[in-house]
Amino acid sequence: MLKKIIILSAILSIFITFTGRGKDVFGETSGDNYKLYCAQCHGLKGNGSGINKADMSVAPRNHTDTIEMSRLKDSDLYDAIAHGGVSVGKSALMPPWQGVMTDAEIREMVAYLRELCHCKGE
Amino acid sequence: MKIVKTFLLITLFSLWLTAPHISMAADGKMVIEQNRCAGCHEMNGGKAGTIAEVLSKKAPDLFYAGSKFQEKFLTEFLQRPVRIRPAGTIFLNYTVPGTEIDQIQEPPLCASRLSREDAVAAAQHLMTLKDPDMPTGIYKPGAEFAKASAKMLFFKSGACNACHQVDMGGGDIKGGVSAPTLYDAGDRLNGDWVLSYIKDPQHWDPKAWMPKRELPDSTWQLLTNFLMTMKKSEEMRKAEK
Repeated sequence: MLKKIIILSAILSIFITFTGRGKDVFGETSGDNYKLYCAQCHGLKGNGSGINKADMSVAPRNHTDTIEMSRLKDSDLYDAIAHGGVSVGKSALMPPWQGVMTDAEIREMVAYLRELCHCKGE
Repeated sequence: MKIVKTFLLITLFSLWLTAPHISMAADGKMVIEQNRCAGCHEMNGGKAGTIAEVLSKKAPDLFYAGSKFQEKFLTEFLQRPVRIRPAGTIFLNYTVPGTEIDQIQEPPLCASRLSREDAVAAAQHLMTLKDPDMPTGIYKPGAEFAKASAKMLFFKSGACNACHQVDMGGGDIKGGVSAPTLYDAGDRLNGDWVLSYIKDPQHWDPKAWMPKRELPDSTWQLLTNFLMTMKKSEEMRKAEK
């Protein structure tokens, strides 16, 4: 009986440790970050149709456009996300997210954009 | 003995002077409890630290209402709520994918419809809920500032209107809808809070979908001055009635 309790306690401790630390260790998923930070302009599906699009002077990029997205290097995507559109010669409507997402999250976001466009960079 | 008597009289007089304020604040707390404001608003300082927690929010946090708002605005809003966030408190909860543009599904409006007396009391209580660490007295109402530079900052380099609606003149409302309206920021918000929020949105909302930028203090001051000039136009006020 005592053996069973000890084993159960050990399993429970491991479970609590990992679920409790999970958010800190692994952060948010890139899909969730995309929805929270990017979808307001780039759309829930990533097709450039976000709710803020209507009054924008420059349309948000369609991340599902394979041809257009293929022309961009991963480093361009990283810079645009981290430092804003101006850093890659594009619109200031794209703000810098460096102070909000971690470096790892931005790199994961670049990979997520490649999933959305089903493409690789130049 | 005479000194003790005088001291007691002064103490009693002070208590009499402050009593109405104490009772009003207590009433306001009761009004808020009776109207179950905490059912939608976070009143006790629990900031949403994960996206899942953000999505579970029904209404804006009120545990720092006294730092954020102007009392006059709260008193009016509590009697007749108006929409401040065009796509709801959390836009993701009311948005569905669209072909040309994603669609906002009718977000609920604050259910508060208090009597004037209750609204006054509730607003007074809400104004006591403050973040003691927020620097105050930094925003100087009515101070002169370079409006042209502020406009450049707001519309061009900062592109704040990408997510916030503003009045382009005569009630012509333009701008993004994922964030709170700004055409009435100067009627609604406390200047010191505005400065603090735009400088570090994630201090107030760890998962705020607003970028954080490193800019000189003078730039934040300039932007705050500009935001605080934004007031609801007569046309808009008439339309609301």
